[in-house]
Amino acid sequence: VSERAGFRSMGCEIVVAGASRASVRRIEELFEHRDRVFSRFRPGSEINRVNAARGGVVRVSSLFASTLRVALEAAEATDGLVDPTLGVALESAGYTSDFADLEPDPRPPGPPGSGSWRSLRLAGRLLSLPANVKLDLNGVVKALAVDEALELLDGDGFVSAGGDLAARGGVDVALPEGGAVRLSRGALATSGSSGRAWLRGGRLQHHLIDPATGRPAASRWEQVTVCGDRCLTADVAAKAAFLFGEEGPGWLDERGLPGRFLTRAGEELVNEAWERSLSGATACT
Amino acid sequence: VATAGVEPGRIQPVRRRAAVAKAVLAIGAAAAFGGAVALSRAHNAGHAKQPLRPLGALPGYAAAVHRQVGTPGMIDPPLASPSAATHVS
Repeated sequence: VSERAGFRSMGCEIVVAGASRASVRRIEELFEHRDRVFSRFRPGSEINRVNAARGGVVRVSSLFASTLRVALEAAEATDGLVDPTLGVALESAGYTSDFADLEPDPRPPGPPGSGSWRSLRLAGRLLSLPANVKLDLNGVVKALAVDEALELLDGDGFVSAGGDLAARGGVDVALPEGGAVRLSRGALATSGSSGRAWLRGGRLQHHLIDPATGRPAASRWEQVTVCGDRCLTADVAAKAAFLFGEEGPGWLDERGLPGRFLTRAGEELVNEAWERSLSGATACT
Repeated sequence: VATAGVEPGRIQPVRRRAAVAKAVLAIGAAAAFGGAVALSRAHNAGHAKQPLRPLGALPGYAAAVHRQVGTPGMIDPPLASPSAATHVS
């Protein structure tokens, strides 16, 4: 079992601990496969084929269909804030290639593209996509890949991919901008505007789109960290809490999800569930 | 039916046979109706097959809904120096 191994995929560094070499190879193949299917930046990916066929009905793979169902459930659970139909908005903001390849673009952003996840029709493997909609499933795909990779570990350990980290057996985790917690069970995910940001038309853009405006969200928060039972839960909740703005901490508390919020000024705020967890109370179960 | 002139000894058996035939038809019709009701209750989706109970969320459904809106993990104060790090995405 390896102490730690790493590789690059989905535009970020993947770190694996607690896996044999064979398991690390399987995890690498898992990420590579998911990226081949779901990356908007790979010309032959299935998502690009699906987006090119919008305006009609297209038959998708079973992996694509099940992932899209998860993304639609996330949209339902977050009142449409975490929306898989914001591909046009991301492209308008300038997110048209791997983040590492993005360079400042003096052109102004394109017209906004609002979310319309309710307009999708998915029946089995047949997907009907309206002509003005492009899918972007990157958020749920990476979180799902981390959850799946955790199952491939040979013992206790963790899998981390950018802002997503899932652990088995407990691990002490350093948080962005300082601080640490012990992740005793489940996963941590951090979403924010500082990790993936770029200049377009002289203005800073980021990948967390407000579905109401079709533009990068002007949230009070710079980043939000959430602890969930799975990476998918934590990731979706972190994005939603970021987009909810002032209501983010309360929205997480209603669901018992611990959350830590950092403002642009560097102030830290934690919700009640996070505070209870770190004070040793048993509410976070 | 005119029976004038028919011998009483011949009409009585005919009346008996007619009464038996009516009884057999009535019992057969009742049996066929009962059978049809039983079969439709057993096979028609619109008929209740068991005694009716009030609707309630099945445990599996309730669990699925709970999972959908999110289940927390568990964090505690750190025990040692961090051996892992999470970034922003």
